[in-house]
Amino acid sequence: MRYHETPKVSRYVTFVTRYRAAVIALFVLLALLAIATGRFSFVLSDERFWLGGSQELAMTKALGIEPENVQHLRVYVERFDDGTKAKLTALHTQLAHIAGVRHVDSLFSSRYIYNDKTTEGSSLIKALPLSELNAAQAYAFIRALPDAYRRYVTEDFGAFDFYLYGDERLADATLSVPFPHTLDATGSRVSPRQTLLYLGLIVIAVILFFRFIFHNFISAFAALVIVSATMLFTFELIYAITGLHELHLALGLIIIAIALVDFLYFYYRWHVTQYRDDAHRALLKSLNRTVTPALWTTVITAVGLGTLLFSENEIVRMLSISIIGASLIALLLNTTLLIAMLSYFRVRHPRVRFSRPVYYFVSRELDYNPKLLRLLNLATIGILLLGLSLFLTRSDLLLSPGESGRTLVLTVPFEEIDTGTVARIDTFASELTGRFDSVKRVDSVASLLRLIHQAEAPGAPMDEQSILRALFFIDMYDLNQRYFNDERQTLKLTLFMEPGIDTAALLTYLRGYRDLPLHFSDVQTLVRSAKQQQIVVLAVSLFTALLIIGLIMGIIFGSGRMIYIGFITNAIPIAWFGLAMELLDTPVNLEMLIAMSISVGLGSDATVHFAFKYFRARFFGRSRKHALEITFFYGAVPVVIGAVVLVIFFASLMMTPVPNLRDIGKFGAELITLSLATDLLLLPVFLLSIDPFPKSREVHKDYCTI
Amino acid sequence: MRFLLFTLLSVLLFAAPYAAGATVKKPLSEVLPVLLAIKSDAIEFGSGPTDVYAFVDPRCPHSRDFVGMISESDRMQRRYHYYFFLYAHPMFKSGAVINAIYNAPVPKEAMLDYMLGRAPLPKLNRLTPPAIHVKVTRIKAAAERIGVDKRPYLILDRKKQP
Repeated sequence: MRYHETPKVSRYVTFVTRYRAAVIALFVLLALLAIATGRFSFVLSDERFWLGGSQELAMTKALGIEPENVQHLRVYVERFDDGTKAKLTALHTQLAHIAGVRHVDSLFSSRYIYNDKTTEGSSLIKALPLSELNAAQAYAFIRALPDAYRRYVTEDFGAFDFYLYGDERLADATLSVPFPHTLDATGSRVSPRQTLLYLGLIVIAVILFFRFIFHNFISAFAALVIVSATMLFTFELIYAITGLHELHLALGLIIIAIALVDFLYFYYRWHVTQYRDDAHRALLKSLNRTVTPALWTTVITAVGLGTLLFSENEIVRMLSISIIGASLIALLLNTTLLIAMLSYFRVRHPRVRFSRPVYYFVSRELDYNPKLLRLLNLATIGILLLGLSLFLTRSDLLLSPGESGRTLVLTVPFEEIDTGTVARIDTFASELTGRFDSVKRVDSVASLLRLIHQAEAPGAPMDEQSILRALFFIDMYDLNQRYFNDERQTLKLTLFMEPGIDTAALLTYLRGYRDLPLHFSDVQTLVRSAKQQQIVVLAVSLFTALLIIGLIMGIIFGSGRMIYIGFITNAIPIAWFGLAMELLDTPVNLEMLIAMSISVGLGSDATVHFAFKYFRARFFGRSRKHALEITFFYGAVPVVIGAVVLVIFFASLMMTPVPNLRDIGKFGAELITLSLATDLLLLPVFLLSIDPFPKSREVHKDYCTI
Repeated sequence: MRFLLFTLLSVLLFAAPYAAGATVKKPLSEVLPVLLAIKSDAIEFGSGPTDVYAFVDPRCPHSRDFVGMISESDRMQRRYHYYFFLYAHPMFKSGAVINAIYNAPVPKEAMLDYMLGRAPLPKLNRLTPPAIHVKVTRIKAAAERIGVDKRPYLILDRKKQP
């Protein structure tokens, strides 16, 4: 179907309206079936998705290591006395006995290692649990060795740190901590109450906004039905393909964006057509004027993201299934269920008061400055090339896998713990702390061996025999759990870090380190590492999708120059946004890429709808001005309404307490705004600049029937 | 005055390693032949792959702690093979006790009974058999060659000797 062909949908619309009750009943039945059979939920944690195809995880597991979740609990105390110490010790015991917690690392699991010399010529290394010292003794001991215990207690003894290593992160509500405290978020699930409250607010906002724009309730009702049904059936599709019943919330947001904008094109045409025609004719026009570009956008989505379906990574696969699935399902629902629903209604106030801004934009853009347009094109291409060169030379550092936590756990296979191993660990630790200010300390068997050796023979160099003796005492006092596993022959290195630092450079350095075979073995780091590697795949896919979108547009519109327009319209928001992020020294992260995907989705939809309307109007003899007015009136208005709803929706996500959701909200709102600005200010100018129709084809018509 | 300073400096230099708690250690390659020569005089314990040669004094409190911790831990007996040499420290005056342990029908049991306070030592013979004297002297000579300066004194050998 080309833009100048009008699909014959009269019989189809008559059929659907005749059996509208059956059509609605069928979808209600399908929805009920989906709800009854599926156990769907949203997750915020992307651990499982990212680790789905992680080779690093497979390598860690091959060492017999089951990666652990590390969670940091900080407890604030007013003063450190015997009473407080007893409570903190009890807290440590309580934490260590929670199901799923493998061990807890804190001051109260630490040992006071000293050489007990009661009489001359008789001495033995002792490892007394610090919990057995009274508060004054512990205070004095830690003051004497502040560096060794800085990770457990602040300098003023006002805050104590507990590191929980376990199968899962714990929710704060499951702990009873008798002090003010902070705990790393679990981030695994959205609470149903919060979700319902949030959804309720969104629904009310959509109803009020649509009521304000369209002066009715059916628009909001139909939007909610179509968006919810798209979400539900996309869930079902994902479940059918992957067997997963949990969907990452970010994917849910993408589905909402796709479904809402798709709905608006259909609904808006039906709504405004009733200004001149009856409701049935409005249905016909809604379908035959919108279905072609809607079908093309679906084809573009499917082809552009189709290659990602074969990605090894679960989250990349899920992303492409969600987007392609949502596009197809939204198209299906808008051409069946929406027609059936709308056939029950007619609009009393079909006028949507956007004519003044439409004329304003048309008059300003009609006389565009070609030099400025060329300059903008060149600047955008320059930014894209700069981004591409940066990406090719330092992609690992350009793309952020996320901010650091307080710990990073590494596993190192070993044959023997000897002077060579200790020296290699020492070199690694000193190089790492020298290179990265954020790494405060590397805790390893080497540091424990040194502690024991210093207690036994202060000042003496550590030789093979002293290592063997220290290892013997480690065995005797059962201190090895935190440092090595003899059976699996693996050492555990724990990096204590300043939290909130970008880990891109650190992970790249650790992956490239050759003197020790390092394996990431905490879930958070494995996820960050997988993200760092997969973000590259996503970024490449996004760029490829831009090219494919351009190519398909060229094919659809039969114009080589449309390839460039299709590409540049979607590239402009991303390029300029990327430049701003680079200037602000903000690395690209997953949340940004998801927001970019949404922006590309909306941008490509808008490009197709705009170009379809403009070329169609020009084909049927409308002047450039008139064609632009038609494009704005039928193409831009639904884009503006959809973008405003989505910006409000995404901006409201910034108020949620979940950091990655806040990021998606922030970047999403910014990129959708940029995308909208490009659609309104540049896309029409681009279309004018490549207009192939001669003036001689123009026929005067004073009303819009295109 | 100059003489006094010289003497003080000499004493400090001589005593410095001891004052710091460090002992001038010989490498294992030198120590091991000495230990192997007296291996048959040891009271053996445990079955692990790593050999632990331990010079202990039965009256030394830390030697008692050490033996107690080893004997109570199955894991430490699985992971290490102990060779206990009873070597008296002048301070504890335990020569007679050592003789009695070595003279007992099962020296290992006698050592554990005495050091862990489980049972009193068997009555000492007025005259220690010469063989025991020889054994104690051999251990003493080896300890002096190795430089054993405290109890318990541990030397570990990761690989089992043939």
